[in-house]
Amino acid sequence: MMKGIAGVSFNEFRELKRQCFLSLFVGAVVLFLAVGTFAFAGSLKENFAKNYAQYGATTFYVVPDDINAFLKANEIADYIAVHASGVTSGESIVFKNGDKEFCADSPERGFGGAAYYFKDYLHPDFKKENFSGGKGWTELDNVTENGYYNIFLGDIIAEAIGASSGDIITVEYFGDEAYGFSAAVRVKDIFVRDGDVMPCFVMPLNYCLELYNEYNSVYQAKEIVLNYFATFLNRADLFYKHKTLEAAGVHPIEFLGGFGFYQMFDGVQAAVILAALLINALAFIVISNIINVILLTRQKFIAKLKMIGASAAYISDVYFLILFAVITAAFGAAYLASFLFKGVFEEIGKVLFFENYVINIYWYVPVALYGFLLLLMSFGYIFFKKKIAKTAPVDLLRIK
Amino acid sequence: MIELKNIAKRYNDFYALKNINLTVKQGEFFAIVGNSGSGKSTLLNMIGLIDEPTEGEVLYHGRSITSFSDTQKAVFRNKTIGFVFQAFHLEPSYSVFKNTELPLIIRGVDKRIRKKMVESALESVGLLSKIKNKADTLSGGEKQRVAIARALIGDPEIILADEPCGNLDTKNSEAVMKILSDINIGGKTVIMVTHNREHSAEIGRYIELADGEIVHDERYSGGQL
Repeated sequence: MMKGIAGVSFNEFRELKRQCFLSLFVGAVVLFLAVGTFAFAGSLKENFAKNYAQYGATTFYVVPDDINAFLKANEIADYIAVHASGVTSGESIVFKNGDKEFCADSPERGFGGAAYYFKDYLHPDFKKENFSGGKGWTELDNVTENGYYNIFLGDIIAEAIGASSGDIITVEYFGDEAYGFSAAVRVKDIFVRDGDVMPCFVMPLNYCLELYNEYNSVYQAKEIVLNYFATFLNRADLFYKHKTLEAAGVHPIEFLGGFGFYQMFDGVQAAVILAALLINALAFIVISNIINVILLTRQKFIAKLKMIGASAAYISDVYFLILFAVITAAFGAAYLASFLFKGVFEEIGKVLFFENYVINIYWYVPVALYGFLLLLMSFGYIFFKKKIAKTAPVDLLRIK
Repeated sequence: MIELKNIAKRYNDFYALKNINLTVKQGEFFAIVGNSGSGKSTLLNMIGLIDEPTEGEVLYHGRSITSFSDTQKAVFRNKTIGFVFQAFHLEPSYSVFKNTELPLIIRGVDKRIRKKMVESALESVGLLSKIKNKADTLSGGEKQRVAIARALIGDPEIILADEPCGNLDTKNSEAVMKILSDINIGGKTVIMVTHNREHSAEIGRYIELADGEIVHDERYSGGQL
């Protein structure tokens, strides 16, 4: 008794083609937005992680004049790296590589060269092509071994200490009596810039903390460290890294007042969840409307089908086959469109977030939405079937 | 063959049918007559299971069919009953062929067999030449003949005709009545609702309804009222 559904469905599809194509279009647009939004937001997270992983997943910018950010950095970071563009009078930095040594006394004395390191990762800002004023850096060597540091050196320093990959360079800083530290770093990559002055030093966090203890005032410590070094640069100049982020259960970005990637990401996530709810509601409305359209438009035909011996299940199968085809086609179109518009999403991401923003279109998003809609549709099927079964053919014929 | 026991149809406080007790024998050509609103069509719909009584039951060969499930009713309508309506109830955008074959599609009859059966049914009503025409391009008489072909195609035992000549001119009415009469002569039970007693020339029995009740039940021999 249940054969021939496809043929009747096809005929009914032709009868309802306007409604079907409209539903398909609306459905495809809604689903495209859903797939696109999820891809955009999901990729935001990935791009965020990817970008920040370049200088450590937990290494973040600290806005120099944000005392709270610095205090929090002190609390959770294991060391802090500071770079500056110069050393003032009365200070000196000594770079040692084995028995080779270079002493950078002060800019006034004309020493040239700079160094900067990050453990394991290189911040995008310090890639040679992105480095502010850093044109001319040349990569001397590459070492892939983990645990090495990227080091920027001015050509004078590089030449003086003859650093190469694998070397251990000791950086010692001498300032006022209160200041002073030394750090040993293993060279991963060395970037050299010719003919320019780029003094540099490395400041472990414990030194910052010592400052804090000594002055008995966090604010003073901040003032000393940040103002002293950060004022050499116009941009935000401090980076910190901490190991205990996850253990602490907090994200450091929360402490970076005014530069809230994570707040933004949370906002996007909330928007996505809201969008998902709206999409689901919209999908429900669309499906309900399709069912209503069928009932309203084809009720007399349904009555005729019942009259000549079609059961409620048969009639439901006929129309839900169409609905299934429309929804499937809408998903196909939306998924295809999301690939076609991938570039557009990426451009938006590049403008808004990262220069290398890459969209990942997640297959499981449309699959999940599709599954959800099929679930909705199955509820609709049950509802539709019950309604058809309950309604006598004469009542359907009677409905205006 | 068909027995109606204490059938009533109530809409709130209004009884469209009440206390209907009726037995229809196999092979009868049976007419239900009465004024508008007397409950003729409602009664026919009860017999055809396209409406449900609020009281009573319909028995078919001694078995209650009013308590059937939706699927059982569908199967019953598909195999046992053929409907012919005053308004034809054809699908206007479908061809004559498609309209006629619908009951067979629902029954799951093979396409090739369907084609033969449709052609045979349309030939019996003289419309084989219009097999490809769309239903909405046919005249009223032709539409009704397609509706009859559709009713006959599943070889049902009972034909239920609700004012089949109501929208037809005299010539077409006579043609349709002739077809129905031939169907009856072929052994099928025909139950027809009609206003027009002139049609009763072919009819062996008629009951008259008034205010939802049977007020007259008369059998004829010789086909004359």
